[in-house]
Amino acid sequence: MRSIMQQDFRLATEVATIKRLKDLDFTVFNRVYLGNPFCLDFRENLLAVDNLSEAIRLVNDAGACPIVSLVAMPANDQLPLIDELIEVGLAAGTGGFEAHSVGVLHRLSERKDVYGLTIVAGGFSNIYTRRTAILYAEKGATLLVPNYELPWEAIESITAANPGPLEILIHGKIPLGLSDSCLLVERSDDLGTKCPDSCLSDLWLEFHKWSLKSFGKLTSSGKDLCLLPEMPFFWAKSIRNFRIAGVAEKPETLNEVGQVYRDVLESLQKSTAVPAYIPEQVRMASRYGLCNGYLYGRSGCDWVEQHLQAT
Amino acid sequence: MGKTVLEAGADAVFAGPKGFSRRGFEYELTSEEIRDLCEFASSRGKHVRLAVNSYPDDRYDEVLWKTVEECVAFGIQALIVNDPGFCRELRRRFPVLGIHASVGASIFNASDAQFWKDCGATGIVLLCNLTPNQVKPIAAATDCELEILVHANRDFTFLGKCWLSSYCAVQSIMAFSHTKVHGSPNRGGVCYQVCRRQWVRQANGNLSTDLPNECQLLVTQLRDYLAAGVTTFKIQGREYTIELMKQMIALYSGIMSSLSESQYDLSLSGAVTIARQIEELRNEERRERTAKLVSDGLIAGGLS
Repeated sequence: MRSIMQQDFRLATEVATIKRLKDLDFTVFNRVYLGNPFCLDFRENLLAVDNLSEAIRLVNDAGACPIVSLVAMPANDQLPLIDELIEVGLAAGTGGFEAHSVGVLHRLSERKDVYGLTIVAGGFSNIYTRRTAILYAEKGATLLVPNYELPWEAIESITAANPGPLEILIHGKIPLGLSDSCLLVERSDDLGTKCPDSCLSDLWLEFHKWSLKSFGKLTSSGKDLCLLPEMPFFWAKSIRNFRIAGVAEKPETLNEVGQVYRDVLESLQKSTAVPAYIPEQVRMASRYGLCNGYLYGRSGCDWVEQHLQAT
Repeated sequence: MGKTVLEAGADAVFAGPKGFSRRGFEYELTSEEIRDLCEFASSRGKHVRLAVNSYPDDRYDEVLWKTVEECVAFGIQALIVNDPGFCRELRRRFPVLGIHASVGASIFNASDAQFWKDCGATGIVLLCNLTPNQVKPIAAATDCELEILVHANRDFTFLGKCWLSSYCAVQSIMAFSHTKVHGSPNRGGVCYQVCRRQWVRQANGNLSTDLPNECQLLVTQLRDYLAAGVTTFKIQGREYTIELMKQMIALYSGIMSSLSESQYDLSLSGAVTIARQIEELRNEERRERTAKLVSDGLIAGGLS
């Protein structure tokens, strides 16, 4: 169990199955988003309800905060499942819920029993402006994830309005597109694999220097976002909530990369110097290299060498 | 284009003000042009709706509200928006103005619709992939005017939940007191349609793969959508030629007229044939424009 001092920041990741959760290092992560909100058919998805209670207990027992990541774009007939997930989460002692759509946020806002929990307006909820950040906060969101494609100037404009704490995606494959139907199911004959195995295969899309990772209904960046050099800047700007994308990553990769970020955050907390280089294990974890372009108003896949400096 | 489609039979036309819609400057109108269009529409008992369907950058608030106030004074019937916070602020400033949640707001279920209604929306543009049966619970949940795009392009992602373009290529262009971020429609620029490239799949051998992208041209289901609660049919058409738009409007005007007649099913078979011809023309026009966007994207992305 970490001390209160060490809880000053939150380093979060996403885990979709109980197996992966058991291999996650809770000395690295102190907030865990549970479930794959992009596809209910994902193998052993925690959102299939069966294992959700056990997952919440595991995270709580480890001294971290479990957040149930609710279905990102539920159809009408999936709304009862949203309610069921909320009920199961509450009964099991979840620390909160994540909503990627305004409808899910609306459903959460109508319940008194989620009051006091962390309600996250996720990256797909399209927070581009301070007006919307304030609106979501008034609807009950207590943690806001600005849209991934925003440059720092736009994020700063949101923070200036004080809508509540922001959580920044700092590492991993950037979610770039959500589909109603699964590309991999549609191409299963061609691929030679079937659901739910297809999205677990090592499947990438390339066009010249551009690369994407297809998880079926979710398409993510081929490169890994890496904002490690910007951590002192974020710290100086009083941002304390960070996420490493993990819904389809192996726990060992998350643990290794997460440890690098935790070490930096703990150094910042103690006001000691942080390394100015990106460790080899972070570079090696990415097949197509690293990117940080969005933060600088560039293409998301770009890498900008010059980093933000707090004044 | 705006005047022509109204003359051709459309009841209302959407116009994007410079800098705030999801298109290039060439497809947007100045305040003077919007005023002219409003006067033209009003003289014929028709309407102009303003498409502020990007997520307007906080930095351009002053220009944004000046534009909106001007256009409201010109007599626009409604605004179409994507940003929920902007919707709520619009409602506060203009208590009786029509406000429509755009298709990019990704309204997919009754709870999404209720959220927008609470923010002040009076209309909802439904996602193209909603069937009439999926529309019914949304209609039951709100009293908002429901619209559906009878003609649109359907990409493989939900509209409003896609950032593939800006991940690959971004180009900022300053004009009309704004920075347009091409590559990001949500930030007011064009989509470079990188999904239309021949991506090479790196698994089980290297195979080229097309990402799904199709023309939506609804014809046979219009009565079902009406029965489900849809009251407005919308044609996506800013980038197409006037001739093609006239043909689309004539097609749908014909179908709508026949809906109240016993000849509906008979006229529908003819309409399907016409729709196929229109689709071919549309695809031909789109090919050229898509090639231009893709080419621009390659340049912006440093691949050309």
